[in-house]
Amino acid sequence: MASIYINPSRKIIAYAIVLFYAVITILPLYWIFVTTFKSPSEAIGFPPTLIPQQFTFSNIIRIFTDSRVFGFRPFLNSLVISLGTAVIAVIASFLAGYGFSRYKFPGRDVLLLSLLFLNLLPLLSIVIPVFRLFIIYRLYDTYMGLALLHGFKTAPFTSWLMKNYIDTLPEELEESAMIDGCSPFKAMLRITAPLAAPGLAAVAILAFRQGWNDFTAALILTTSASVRPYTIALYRFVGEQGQVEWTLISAAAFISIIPVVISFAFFQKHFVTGLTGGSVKA
Amino acid sequence: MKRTILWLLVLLILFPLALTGAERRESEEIVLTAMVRDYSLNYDTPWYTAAEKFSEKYPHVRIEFEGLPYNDQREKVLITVGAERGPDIVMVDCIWLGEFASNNILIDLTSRISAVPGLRDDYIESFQQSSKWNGIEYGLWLWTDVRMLSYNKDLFRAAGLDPNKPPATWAELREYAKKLTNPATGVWGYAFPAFSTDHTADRWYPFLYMAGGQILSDDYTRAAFNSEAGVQALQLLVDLMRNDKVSPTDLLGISESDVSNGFFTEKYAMQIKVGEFWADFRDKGGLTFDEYKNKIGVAPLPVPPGGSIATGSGGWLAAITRDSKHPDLAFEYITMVVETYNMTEFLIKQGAIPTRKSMLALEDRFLSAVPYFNVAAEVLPHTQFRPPIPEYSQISSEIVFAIQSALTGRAAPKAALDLAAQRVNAILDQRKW
Amino acid sequence: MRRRPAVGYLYITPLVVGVLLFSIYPVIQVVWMSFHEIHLASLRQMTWVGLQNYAELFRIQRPTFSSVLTITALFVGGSVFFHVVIGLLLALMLNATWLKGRTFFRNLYMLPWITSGIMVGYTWSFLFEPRAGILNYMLSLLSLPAQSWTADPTLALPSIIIANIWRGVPYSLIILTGGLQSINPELNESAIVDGASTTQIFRLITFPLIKSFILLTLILDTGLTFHVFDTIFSMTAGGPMHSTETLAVFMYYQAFKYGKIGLGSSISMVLLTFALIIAIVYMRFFRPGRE
Repeated sequence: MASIYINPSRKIIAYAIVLFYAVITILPLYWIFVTTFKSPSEAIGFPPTLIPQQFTFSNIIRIFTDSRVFGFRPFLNSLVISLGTAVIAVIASFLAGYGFSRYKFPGRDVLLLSLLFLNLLPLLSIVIPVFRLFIIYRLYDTYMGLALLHGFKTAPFTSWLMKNYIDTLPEELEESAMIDGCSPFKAMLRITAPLAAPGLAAVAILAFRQGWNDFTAALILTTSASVRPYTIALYRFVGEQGQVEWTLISAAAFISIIPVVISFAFFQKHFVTGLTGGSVKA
Repeated sequence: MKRTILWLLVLLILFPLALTGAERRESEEIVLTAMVRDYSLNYDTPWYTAAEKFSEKYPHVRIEFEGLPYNDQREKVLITVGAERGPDIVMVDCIWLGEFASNNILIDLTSRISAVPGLRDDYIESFQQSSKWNGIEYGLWLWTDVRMLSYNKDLFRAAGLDPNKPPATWAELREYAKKLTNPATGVWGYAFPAFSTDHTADRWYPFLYMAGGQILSDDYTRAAFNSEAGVQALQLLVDLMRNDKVSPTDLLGISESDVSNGFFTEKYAMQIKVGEFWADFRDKGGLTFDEYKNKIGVAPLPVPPGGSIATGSGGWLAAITRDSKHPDLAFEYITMVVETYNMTEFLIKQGAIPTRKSMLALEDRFLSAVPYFNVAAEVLPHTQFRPPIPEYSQISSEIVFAIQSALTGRAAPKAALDLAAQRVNAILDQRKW
Repeated sequence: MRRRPAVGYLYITPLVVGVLLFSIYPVIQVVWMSFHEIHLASLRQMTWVGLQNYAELFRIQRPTFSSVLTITALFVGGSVFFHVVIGLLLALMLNATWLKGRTFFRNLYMLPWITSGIMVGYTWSFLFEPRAGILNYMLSLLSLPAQSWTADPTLALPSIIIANIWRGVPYSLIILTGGLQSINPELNESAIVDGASTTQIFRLITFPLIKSFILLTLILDTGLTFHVFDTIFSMTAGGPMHSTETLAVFMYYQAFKYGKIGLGSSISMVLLTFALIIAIVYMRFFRPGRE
């Protein structure tokens, strides 16, 4: 490849495009980031400042400590809902992925295909009946309701992901364990589960993100401050303020982005596969 | 090995259960919940002081409050009552009464009100009447408010206008607003809400009334706002925003509280408001009664040629939802809230207007504590209410849309109002009362 | 592969039960509910009204169903078009082996996609803010008049489309990058040796090979953009003057503002039907395991 000559002006154009879009991508996020550390008057001052003139942590501190502004509770709620979602998705998709990978049974292929079909079912289109059902079955405004909904919204796709992952793991190890007197279930837990750990981590993160970033379901299915996640708390906060306090909104946005960015940094590849619904293998 | 499986199963089942279990602990204590407007929780009165008195009588009852902004208040009451998780006590805007009552959200308070001696008769007749839907009483009035013109005297002085001579006619309003608008300092002459909430319609109605118009026919079955008076009133707003450019054009995206904030930060020289500024200037701005009177002027709204003084009122009632498990306790509590002394403290602090005769009897207290009480008392006899019918929310959306169409130049005032009237009539044709 | 169906079924039971309860049953319910009149304040009461909710869809005047559909189409069309164009451009650039920092840029470009829709909404609301926003500041630098952006009925829809383009470019970028990587690099090299120009390579080799990936992006992205709710809701809440009221927002308002749960269900049915069409098209063209 190196021997191929490419016109330098083409190279410059390519770099210009790539850099230009990088600026477009980063600018809004940078704006949130710097506003987090600005004083309220500086944040809405004209002309805008690129770097905080007086650097302050007070917005972040207010977000976590002042329960009238926001408080820690909404983040805790989001964390519980997202972890619950992850636990449900991991258990359901590991078992299902294992079943699909290791056993043959009638209807298996149809079921596998319908998993991808279900992945394309928008949550929004079923949120009204879910609202009614949750009220009747007392799941409305509970952590469990949201965790189950998101867990099983994620599970069809993550099961499919786990099935493909377990397909790549050698079956012989389990078989030799079974010859040594292990039950098949025990062999699965002892041998396959540890080997599938990276795949399970990916499932957990995809499910976590589903719970963490959700707004729509929580808007309709929660009401009390003890359950509603930070996305709803932020929405209510914006509504309750006479004047929109951009520093606090920015701080909340900035804080909320951190967990997903960190998990993205660690599990980039799985993330990419997950975000595209498995249509592309990164 | 068996144990591992067992643990897994236990985890699977218990994890989500544990999450919910922690939240709902049952106890001997009775908890009454109240969904009220955010600003009404700013002071100890009326809710907390009454709660304190209540808990002296009933030590095992605790009252929890949730404060909500205007739009959320209505939607959240609807949703939580629909979800069978409604609060015991709700604050109801008088325009929602018909809607809430006809959807069985509120319980009938008629016999309970009769059981309290003197309560019903202490309310001013028009308010007592407007706590009813289809002849049934659903709430107890808390307070009312009245639309007046507020203006910033400092900005009047800066523009060379006499701070003691507010505009008295529509022509003067336009003329003054032009003088007050100053792009260099970012000051706008006159501001009004134009966002997609009822406030936009509500702050337009006084102009409609002054020109001799009304919203609906007297029996609430036909639209009447597209009269000549309506066209004139809407033309005034269009003139202010589009022709004179003395009102900010981005008002369509600015909520009612943002508009108040612009007045408070002295970016808007004049505006139509219900009079909550006094509390803002005192609590946030640190102004005394006299400093406020020197800075902010309050006057009856300017009248059109040949028109007469008129204005609009709204206000809030306390009611009890069908989800309340202890309606008698809840009712006893709200009677303590509306009790003359308890409520008067709040009204004076907030600058709101009373609805009970026993409170009006304390006029001297109001006059010495609320800077614009004399003006409010002057215009109150000329005030009108919005129709209390269940369809009002939908009707209001139509009128707001018409106002917005005219303000953005998408339709002439007449055409916009006619179209809205046609749709309002279609909505009213489907009424079930 | 073991042939013990009973055990296999046992393993997939948790998934199947969960999906039946939380996805399939609600789908059945929404069909059923769309034939009933249900008010938000009394959800247990259902009155059979047949097709009335669907008829009502065409009777609603504020906003009209056709305007909702038009706005949805513009929102989806505008977003998806730019997602694909920008995504393709960037994917082609990042596919050049001589470009330094390719992984860095690829990861950087991902950031808008991993953040939540409501954060995207508020971030862009801040940029569009008429008085303190950076966009009006940039306009002032170019001595152009300030705009009201999301408060202006004409500019609100373009504003939310811009925010949504920003959010969705990474999605098409990933799919199209995957597509480009599946092309055998030797093909390009031999073409270059044969003296083909870059444009020719794109037109004759690259494009025909990634055409199916472009189609895939179009299908999946359309499906996703169709039910974007959080970004729109946090930026404009469907206003001003219903100018950004897409099907998703329309459904929310009818059901939870006006309390018409039955009507809301019939709007859900429209969303559901569309998702079904997307899914069928997707399965026809890209049935996994077929390759």
